[in-house]
Amino acid sequence: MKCEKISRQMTALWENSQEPSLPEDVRRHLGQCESCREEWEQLSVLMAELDAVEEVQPSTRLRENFYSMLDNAKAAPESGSGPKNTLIEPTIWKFTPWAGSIAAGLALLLAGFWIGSQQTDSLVESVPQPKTVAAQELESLQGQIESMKEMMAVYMMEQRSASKRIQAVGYTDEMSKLSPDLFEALRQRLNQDDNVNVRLASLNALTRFAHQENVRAALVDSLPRQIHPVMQIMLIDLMVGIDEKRAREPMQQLLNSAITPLEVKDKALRGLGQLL
Amino acid sequence: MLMLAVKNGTLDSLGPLFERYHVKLFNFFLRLTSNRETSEDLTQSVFQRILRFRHTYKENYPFRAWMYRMARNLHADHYRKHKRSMETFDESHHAEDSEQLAVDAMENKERKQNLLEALHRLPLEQRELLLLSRFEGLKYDEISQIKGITVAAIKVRVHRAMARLREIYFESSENGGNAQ
Amino acid sequence: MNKLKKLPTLILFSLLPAVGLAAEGAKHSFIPADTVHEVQLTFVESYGDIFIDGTDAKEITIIADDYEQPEDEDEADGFVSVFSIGRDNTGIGLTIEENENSVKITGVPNSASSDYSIRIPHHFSLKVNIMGNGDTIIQNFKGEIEVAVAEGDAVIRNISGPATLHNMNGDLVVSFSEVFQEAPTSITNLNGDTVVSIPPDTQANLQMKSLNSDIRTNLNIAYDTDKRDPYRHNIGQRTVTGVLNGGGVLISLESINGDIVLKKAGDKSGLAPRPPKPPKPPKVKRIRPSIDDVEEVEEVEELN
Repeated sequence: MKCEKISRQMTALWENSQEPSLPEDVRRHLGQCESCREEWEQLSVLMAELDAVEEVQPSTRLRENFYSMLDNAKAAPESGSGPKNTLIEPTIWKFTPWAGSIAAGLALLLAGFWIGSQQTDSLVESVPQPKTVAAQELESLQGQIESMKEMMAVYMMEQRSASKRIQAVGYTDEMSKLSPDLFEALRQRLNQDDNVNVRLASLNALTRFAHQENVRAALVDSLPRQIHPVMQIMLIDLMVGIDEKRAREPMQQLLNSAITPLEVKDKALRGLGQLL
Repeated sequence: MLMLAVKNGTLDSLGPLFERYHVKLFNFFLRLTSNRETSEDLTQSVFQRILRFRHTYKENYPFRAWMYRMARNLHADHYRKHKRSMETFDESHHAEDSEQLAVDAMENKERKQNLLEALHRLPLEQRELLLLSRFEGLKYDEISQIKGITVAAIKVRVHRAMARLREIYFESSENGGNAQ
Repeated sequence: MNKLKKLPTLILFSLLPAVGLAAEGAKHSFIPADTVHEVQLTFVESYGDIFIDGTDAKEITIIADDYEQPEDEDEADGFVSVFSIGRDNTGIGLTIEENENSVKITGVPNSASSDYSIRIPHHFSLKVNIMGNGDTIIQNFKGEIEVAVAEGDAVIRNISGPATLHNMNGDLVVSFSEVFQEAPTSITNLNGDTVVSIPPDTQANLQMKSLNSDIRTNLNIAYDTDKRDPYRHNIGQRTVTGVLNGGGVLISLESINGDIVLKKAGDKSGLAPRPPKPPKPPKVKRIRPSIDDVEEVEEVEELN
């Protein structure tokens, strides 16, 4: 009777575990009961063997078929069978992984529009009325602060501590414009920093200005300079996101190169499909 | 979340779900059917169904459990339709085919082949249970959602299946391997 | 994919070196100059595990577990190794160089298979670069830590940061005793899972991004919905930003293929070998960083 209970308990220990430890009472029982001990040993061997069975990879046909099915489904008009979008999604979670180039292009267009409208707004504000002295002072003060911050950022990007360099790169988050010095400093971090986290932080900082032609060109130019797979993948992802077709060539090169890691090739291959 | 996005029309979100689960699903089917082509087709069908029935997906229902439920149903359909051929397959081509399987997947290791053999000698229901809990790494409460029976019942059934597998496996290795 | 399952063993291992290795291994110990406040540790080829412990002693102590001195063929036949990485000047497979402000410890190529246990004054800053297959454990440091690991799992605990950490293919399990408030912490991973614990009262700004996998947390984060940046959510990446306890230093976590779990320190789930199941499930059940647990991101909201 007792053995049966112990035996069940032993099997249950393996739920989601690869090397469970025995509870004290079971351990004590195993000390006295040879058949349960044998069972535990067999169970351990068997579980280890089961866990060691390797996954078999399906052929590439499966992935191809899946994506062509997905494309067809997207092209087909929405089947009216289900309820419409009744959920209000929290904005923050609403991202579209692997946004197709169309969506990305649209985003770019919207972004351009948004930036354009911001600029017009400020023009409308500033042109018609002559400014008060106080307002002018405030503006010049703000300008000074911004250029000071900028100097600090450029200077701090040379520091020995990777964390401090990331901090310096982060200062650009507060800046509305990317000055030539700052751009150059970020670009240097992106391409030359020997810490991958700093490179990535620089990429994120530059992403905010990806509507600027000089930034886009720098990003395209950066791809073949990156050797770390994290950077290669994140850059490709961005290139697809901003629909930057000039990146096709470096992506193709990555794909052709024998030393490119598999994850990156995979990303490049998919990216090339999206950047048509 | 991804599935919610799919449900709400962002079909692209199915991509990451496919990437995450298709190998697992394929292996699930492969261990059930011992046939690569069939397994690929069935895997594809799961995602097809997910797309087609995306409106029935309930928020807060674990996606994985939902997906394996479809997978089980699909396999059950397949099994019913091909029962005759499956049966003959099971009896006559079994050793050969699982050997084939072992060749490509297990680098010809006899021990592992024995294990797969032993697995294949389990009744379908037990085999499926072990696949879900061991290969697919599902928890008992997830399996209970998939199969619609209590966790306690799952516990007992897994225990029985393991006991049976132990019996087959250790018996066959004592007999010097290749149980035919 | 179930890499995290290895971790319990790794944790157990970590308890051993201090005792176990000291008894058997070859030892090298020295007191660096007063001006030194940094250790740079580099292994370009290593298959052993590396354990780095911060202590309040003044000396740096290194214990090699099973280092075997290679037979000195070089000198016998007049040939010299062409590796520029350095010559063993410690007798345990390491080159040690001391500069004004830092000590460089570098594994020579044939140190490959040994485990190393290294004790360093805990206020030193660390720059660690390991391109081997072994696992890495770093614990009990009060200074800045930079770590890049290429293959094995890494556990980094009881640190205050700032920390700049990267693992390419292994899991990265990091726990902060407190979070340094003056410079940012950045943690990145390519293929492994990343599990980060911080004290629940930490004030921080959070940035979490995962390209192909999930982000989960049991911390009470105020998610940022007012995005100035029109690109961030539209480039196929999954980015989350938010504020913890009113905001503070930046903590950024980024991963490509692995999960990211950010949790309250002290929540031991997933770090210790799982005890036999209690009858009731623990409260924050989904946060257990078993990759089997991977569910959809909305659970983050459930937890809040």
